[in-house]
Amino acid sequence: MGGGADGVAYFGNLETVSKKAVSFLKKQGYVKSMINWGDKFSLWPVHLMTSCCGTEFAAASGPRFDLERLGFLPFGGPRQTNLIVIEGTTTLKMARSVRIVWEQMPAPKWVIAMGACAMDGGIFYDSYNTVPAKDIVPIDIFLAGCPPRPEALARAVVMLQESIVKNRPPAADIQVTAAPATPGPKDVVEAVSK
Amino acid sequence: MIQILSLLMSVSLVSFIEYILPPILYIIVFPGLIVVLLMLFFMIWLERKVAAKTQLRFGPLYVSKRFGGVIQTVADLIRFSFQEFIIPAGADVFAYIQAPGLLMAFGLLPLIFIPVGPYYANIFPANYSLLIVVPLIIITPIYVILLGWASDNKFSFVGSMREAFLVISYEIPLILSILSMILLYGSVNAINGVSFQIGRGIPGIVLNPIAAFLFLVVMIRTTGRFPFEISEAESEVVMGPYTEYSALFFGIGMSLPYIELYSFSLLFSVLFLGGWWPIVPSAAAASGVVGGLLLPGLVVFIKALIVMAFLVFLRAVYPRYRIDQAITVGWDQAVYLGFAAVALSMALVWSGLV
Amino acid sequence: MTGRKNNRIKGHVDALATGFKYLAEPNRMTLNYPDESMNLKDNYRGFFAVKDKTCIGCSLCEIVCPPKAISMLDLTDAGGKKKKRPMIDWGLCIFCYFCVDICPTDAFQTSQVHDKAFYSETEYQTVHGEPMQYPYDYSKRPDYKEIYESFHDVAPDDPSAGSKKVVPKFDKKRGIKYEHPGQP
Ligand code: SF4
Ligand code: SF4
Ligand code: SF4
Repeated sequence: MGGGADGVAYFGNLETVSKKAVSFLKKQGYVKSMINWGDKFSLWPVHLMTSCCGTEFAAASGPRFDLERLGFLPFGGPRQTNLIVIEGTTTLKMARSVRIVWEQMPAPKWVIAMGACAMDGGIFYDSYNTVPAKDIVPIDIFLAGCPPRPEALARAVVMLQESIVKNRPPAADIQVTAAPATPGPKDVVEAVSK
Repeated sequence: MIQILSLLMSVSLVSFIEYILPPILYIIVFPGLIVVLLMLFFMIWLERKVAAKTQLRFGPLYVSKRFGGVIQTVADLIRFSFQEFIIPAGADVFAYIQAPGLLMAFGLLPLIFIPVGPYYANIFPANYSLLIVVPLIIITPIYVILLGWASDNKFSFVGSMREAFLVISYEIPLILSILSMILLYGSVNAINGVSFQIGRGIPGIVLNPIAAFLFLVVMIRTTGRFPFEISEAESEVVMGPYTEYSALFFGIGMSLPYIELYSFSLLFSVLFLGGWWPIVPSAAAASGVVGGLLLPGLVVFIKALIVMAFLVFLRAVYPRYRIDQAITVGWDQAVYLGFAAVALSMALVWSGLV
Repeated sequence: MTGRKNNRIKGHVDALATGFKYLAEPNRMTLNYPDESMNLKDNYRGFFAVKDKTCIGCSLCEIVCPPKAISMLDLTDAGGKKKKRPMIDWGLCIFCYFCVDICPTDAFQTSQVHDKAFYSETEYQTVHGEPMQYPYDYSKRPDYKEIYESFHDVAPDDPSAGSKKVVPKFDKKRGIKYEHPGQP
């Protein structure tokens, strides 16, 4: 596919112009509040189940707790979503996947760390093979419980919506340059620095 | 001099109102872009809401509690509009960017050639409308394949290959079903088809139920509704051809099936549901925009809405076919049903029953 | 062969009929969460806090806690006497209630609050008070007196306090439904 270089020639300039236009638009107050409103009611989490908290995540989307009421629609591809719910333990292998999926998501993105395992390690606090989620990606909301009830996930989503409306920037924007304080195992450091 | 000028002006005004304004309105307002946009917002919301209701839950609600979350799609659109647009490193950038635009253009094009009222013949040439609509409807999958090829992703590629397989297996039934209606109506002009149905007082779905059923199935297949949502099967190939698309371009990709759904449903109500049947404009009314286009168009639109609502409801009922099952149904049953539909039409015409 | 085909057609018709039935008859079992919340059973295990007066500082809870969510603090009370008190890290606690069961003096004040989320680590890390080290380092124990003062004896605030409380009921015909206990 030799079109790559041509494409840059065609669209390189257009890209900078459009980026400038978008950043100008985003600075306007009414546009910002409109975007916030759109983000608030369109939090689509990506399907990424790392551990057993995923069952409660499924229950939260089921008929009994139905988070689609809040505009929360679990979706297949990471490119179309803007929220990632880390559902419990992240083993070293899964940590790499989480990081890759997070990198694949487009810019305004949020992360919810669900369950004790994703917060400080929970029952696997001293396991040789798990990583606390906050060492993998910047996290916006921490959700306690083992597993948290679906209502608790709903509470996390509601809190995230509140923070979006209050213009609190996503954690990804704050910590993107700062390396994690304690990077953890070597594999994850590699995955993070990639 | 002044008299001549004023005459010219009045003539040009008349010609503007008579000859230039209607096509523009037809393309931009109804059944063109604006109605398409509103229909899109409404249909995507309705799909989620109907699926939710059938599954004992609420669906989108909190975005506007009093109206049951009707503006959910608007929130999604705003979110998509201001998201980062990612171009994958390995993508063929030119094709990657132009494919959704072309897809959209070719998805919208058939709308121009589907008459929604007898006045249509004054705006666009209507004599070969069915002959033009069929290839235009069939051409969009080529751009879906381009989409998958350009994004340099194996899931996109598998998804677009599936689309290609399915298109090939369901093209013949589509053509056969429309062909049988053409045989029956004795014309490739859809307006004649509607006058045939109104004249006999029997809608096409009663005259040739096999063709109607077949058209419905092909419609479900082409627009990717369940149970034929195979090329975008979430649990198998992520998002199919649209896997790599983010931001507004994904919005375009996802709205395409609904636009196709819209044009197919308009065609279905014209061919099979009697078109603008309860409203039979007289010759005088048919020569005006309101009597000849808007009122009949409204009737056709309402019929199309009902068809669309039924098709999006299928999401709540069906799982999805495996690709080989779908292809088997296409070649094993749909094609023969198509021949049966043509035979039925021929029998009806030759026996002189209609 | 025909039998199978007939079954297949019947299956389609049945599926559509069932779908229409549920569509026509709103039979929702959804809890409208931020507006309503469920009244849980009495023994539901939610967040809990330590009653400072009752605790005797025996450290049993620290010993029994499986993920080591509890660590004992060395504190000095108003009279200058030394005392030990447990602190809980919600980022580790798995709500097994071993600590509550083992406590000889019933010093834990339990609640049914279960839907708490936190914006940052400092909000829940009552034990560590600073980002956790990897691997886990227990030797670090800064002065947690202040944090403890703000946490003990205080039942965790209920985020869904303002919502309508409902009781889930099982109905043979409708499945799960919710009743408002306040209303007749
Ligand atoms: S917090 Fe509990 S339920 Fe969740 S992943 Fe960890 S062990 Fe499993
Ligand atoms: S409930 Fe279990 S995990 Fe939590 S503090 Fe008590 S003993 Fe530890
Ligand atoms: S077991 Fe009870 S009395 Fe002993 S330290 Fe823990 S809370 Fe205090």
